[in-house]
Amino acid sequence: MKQTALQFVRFILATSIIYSALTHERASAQGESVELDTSLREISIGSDFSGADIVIFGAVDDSKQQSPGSNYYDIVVVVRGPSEKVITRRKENYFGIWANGESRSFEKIPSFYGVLSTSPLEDITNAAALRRLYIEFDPTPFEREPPTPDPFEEALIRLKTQQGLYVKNPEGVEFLSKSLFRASLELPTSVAQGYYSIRIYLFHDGELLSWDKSIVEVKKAGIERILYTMAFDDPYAYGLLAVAIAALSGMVGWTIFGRS
Amino acid sequence: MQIYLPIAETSVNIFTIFGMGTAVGFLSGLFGVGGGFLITPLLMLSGIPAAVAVATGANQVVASSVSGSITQWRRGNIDFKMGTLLLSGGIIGALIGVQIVNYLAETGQIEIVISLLYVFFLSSIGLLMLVESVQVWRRNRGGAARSARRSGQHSWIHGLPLKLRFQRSKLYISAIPPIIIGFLVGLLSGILGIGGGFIILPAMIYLLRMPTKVVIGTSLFQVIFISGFTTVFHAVSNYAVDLILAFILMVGGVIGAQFGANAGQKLRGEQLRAFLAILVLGVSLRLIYDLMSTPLDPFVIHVPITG
Repeated sequence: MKQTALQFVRFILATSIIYSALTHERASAQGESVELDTSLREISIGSDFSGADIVIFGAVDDSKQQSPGSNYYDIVVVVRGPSEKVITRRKENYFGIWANGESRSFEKIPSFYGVLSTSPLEDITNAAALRRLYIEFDPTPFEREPPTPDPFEEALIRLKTQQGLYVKNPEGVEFLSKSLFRASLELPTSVAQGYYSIRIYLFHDGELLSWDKSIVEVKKAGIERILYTMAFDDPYAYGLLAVAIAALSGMVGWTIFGRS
Repeated sequence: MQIYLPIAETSVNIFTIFGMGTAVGFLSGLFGVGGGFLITPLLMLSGIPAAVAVATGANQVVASSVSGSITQWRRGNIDFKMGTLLLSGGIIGALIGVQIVNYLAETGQIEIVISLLYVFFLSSIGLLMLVESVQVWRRNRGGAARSARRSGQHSWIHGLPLKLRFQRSKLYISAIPPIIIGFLVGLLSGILGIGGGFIILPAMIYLLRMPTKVVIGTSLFQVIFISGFTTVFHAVSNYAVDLILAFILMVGGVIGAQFGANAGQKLRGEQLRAFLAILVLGVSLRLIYDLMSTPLDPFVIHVPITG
């Protein structure tokens, strides 16, 4: 639970940064602008890793809303994890046994995709704008004319959602004051290593007013990092190390217990 | 307490894995079996990917066979010449087995093929053991001892060429059968992550006609190397050896084996065997259930490993 304490420190930091930004009145000529910061810039996957929470803070400069609950602005936060190849397979029954049958592979799919907003996306702006800004995840963005529902694509999104890797929360962003808002996102244990981009959009009356982005890095740390790196960079040495450790623990076992 | 596994990329309860290692170690101490045939399916049932379960199982077998081998070696029960011959076939078998796992993982059939193979082996061993222990139990009750001693006749095995002398085993036989037996055991080690004791022990006794005294030691000796090679091959081809997982299993296994060996001296053989048979059949039934029950979702997703 070290991360909770860290989050709190970062929360104070983020709040003070946002506060100073607000008091400096960095207003642009176009009106409102939006800025963001995260509770952690780096998430470590160590031996005690069992998922992590990212807290995203943002502020609207020159906010025109009177109170946090006035619903004057709409905020959309999009978090995208590193790309990966995913194979979706359909299970088929052969003589009473379920085996994997037909498959379809998707190249460069986001390993994680989170969309958090102040209200349902369709209430914020039109579908074309959502698509243009890549707000809603679409595994095959260029094959969609005319749109045909594909069971493999649907399964991909459904299963990723079940695993907590695709998250959609229309109540995930909350205004704390007339300009300060916060969103929190849970990363499950199975998150991929890499850079997670965070984009934030400020809407009013369906119109995009401003946006901002940031990056969070998720990486293995400590012994987990050493072993993972070695396993992939020098698999021979890693394999020999595994055998040596096994042989050694067998010998130690024999010396302690097996002598009789 | 949860611990994150760097290669399996999942988090498991350290006590569950340790308990699994200890339980299987206990059984291997009790029966003198490697226990690999239980480790891999148990890991698969606890949500570890099949390739990682196989590769890590092979790694754990190295540890248990090393400590067993030292004991056998000190008693002079290892036929090194025979062991090396078995090994030469075994390495090739392991190499091919690992490539089969690699191919199955790529085509998405690995979980099912490995489950089916385990169902086949576990059910046959479980049933054989159950039948045998019931027979022994009946015979003891009836008191009618049947003698089923084999005669020392020569079989077709003795007609093969490339004959070698094995002093410790007091045999003069062809090099071909040991190489073939080794090859099959290596293949099973590569695909299933097991030591293969249940194949090689009967093969040594009934096919090669080796003296019972050297059978266990020689088998353990060659298993060290076959499972060692399997571990390295899996690390190189499939990036599937999880050292953290293997280490927890090894520590549990070493401790469990000691308790098992002590308990084995106090308990009766046929009861133990019946117990192991029921356990093996239970694991097999669980695998069958998983294979046959309607999946929660008609699709699965999979992210291939890129090295």
